[in-house]
Amino acid sequence: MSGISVVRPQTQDGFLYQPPEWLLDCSFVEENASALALGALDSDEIARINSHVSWCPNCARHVHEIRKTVGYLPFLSSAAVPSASAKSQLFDRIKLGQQQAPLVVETSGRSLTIPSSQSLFDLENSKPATSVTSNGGNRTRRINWAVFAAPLAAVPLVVALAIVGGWALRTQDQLDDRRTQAQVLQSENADLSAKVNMLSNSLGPSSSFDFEAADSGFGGNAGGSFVPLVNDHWANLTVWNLPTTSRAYKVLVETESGQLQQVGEFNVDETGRGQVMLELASPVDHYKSVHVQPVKLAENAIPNNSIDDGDVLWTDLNSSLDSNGGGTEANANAN
Amino acid sequence: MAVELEAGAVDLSALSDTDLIGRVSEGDAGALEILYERYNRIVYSFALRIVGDPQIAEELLQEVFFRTWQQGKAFRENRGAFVTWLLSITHNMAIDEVRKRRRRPQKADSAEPELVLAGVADTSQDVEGEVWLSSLRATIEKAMLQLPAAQREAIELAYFQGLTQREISERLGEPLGTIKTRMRLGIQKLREQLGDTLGDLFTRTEVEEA
Repeated sequence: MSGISVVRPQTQDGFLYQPPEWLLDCSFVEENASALALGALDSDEIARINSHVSWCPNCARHVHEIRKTVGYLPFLSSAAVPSASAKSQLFDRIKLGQQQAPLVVETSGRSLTIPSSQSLFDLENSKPATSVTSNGGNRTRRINWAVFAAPLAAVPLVVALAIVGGWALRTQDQLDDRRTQAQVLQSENADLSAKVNMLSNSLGPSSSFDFEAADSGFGGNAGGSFVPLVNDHWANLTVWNLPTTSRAYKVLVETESGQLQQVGEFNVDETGRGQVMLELASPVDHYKSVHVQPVKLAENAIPNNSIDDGDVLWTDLNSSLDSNGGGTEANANAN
Repeated sequence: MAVELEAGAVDLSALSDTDLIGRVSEGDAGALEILYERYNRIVYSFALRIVGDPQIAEELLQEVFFRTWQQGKAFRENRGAFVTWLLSITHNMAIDEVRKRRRRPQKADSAEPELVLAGVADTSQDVEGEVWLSSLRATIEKAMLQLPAAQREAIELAYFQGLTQREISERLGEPLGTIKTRMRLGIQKLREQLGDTLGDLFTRTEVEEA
């Protein structure tokens, strides 16, 4: 793993910010990335790696490369051709889904289609029928029991169908719940994958921008680091020694037209340390500066013509991007 | 690139996978049909390799494309090629199935490379696609065969049979660390061999245009 150097935030007085152990877990990722891509890890190991790569671009890129290699393996499968009915069944299912939701219960990968019950009973034939016979002058009304036999015989069938139907609907409900849970998990996985992929695309040395305390009087010895990540649409912000008079801070970026846009919010701990991953609508070089402000100040005290009011920290983005093409640190003082 | 026909209709078969999945997410069943034609065989073959049962493999094939129909919006171009996404869904579903049933795949599959295409009753007219697939398969197979047998075994047990590295360790009676090393070295060698040869996995359309 080479190419990108991880920026280790350092305060002005030389204090080295020490992230939690799992953030420094590169060796674990190195050792297990192949098993991860092959699907051979337990869930806790997967979570450990995902946590790490969301922070470490080196490992994210490594995992991405391994996944890419593993992505070739499906093509080892010997060519086989499915039956033509597979396609027709699929598109029938889609057509049916467009017209109405199909009454299908999936059980362990199998599909149990519950047939319409309408054809089971011929309504006309199921009417209780009588026949009238003439016996001399006496008209005897004789019940044709055979006519009742069919509907009576159908009663157990109806009961059985009701039981099966009830079971099927309950199973359907349970499956729906599980499907919903699976979709949520899938969505979370997709988000993580997106982060990994995007992080791994950040080739070359990473740019970082060090914050300095603004002259607003709030900052004190606060410091921070702003590290653009993948495609410059993501950035990792780490700050330290922020005043703990406010636990909630906002991150704002200044657009080329001078407008401030909030791109994130985070809390600091009792030492004034905090970290947040930011998603930017535009690449980093479309913004002029980044500002960190206490939430209450950011909400109430951002005049359009004086964006630095209320800043605790800020950094100028434009001055460095062009100069070194990455790896530069831009420092600037507010006001 | 879309090709506009005279009547204003679009020739879907000329669209890229990305364009097609975009249409699928908007409810265009015709676009899904084109994607199905392009990838049903690799999805089916892959599923069959894992589950070892043609009927279940067909059910998985249908389910994969049905999910593509339902969740096409989840595809993101910047995360990789469409086929990678599709096969990733296939792998997850097939491994889930295997883990549920703990059924071993049939062995008629991987033993003899010459059987790769021999058993295929291919009625497709997509000759270019078949050439592409067989060429890709041959390259990857060659790289796999160059791995030490123990490394290849560890990779196949994990990827095609859904075993975790701990389960592989127990099954083979080898220390967990040994299994981890085999997987890591095996994938590393594959990466070295295939990285230069194949580069990024690409879409069919890109290949055909090349």
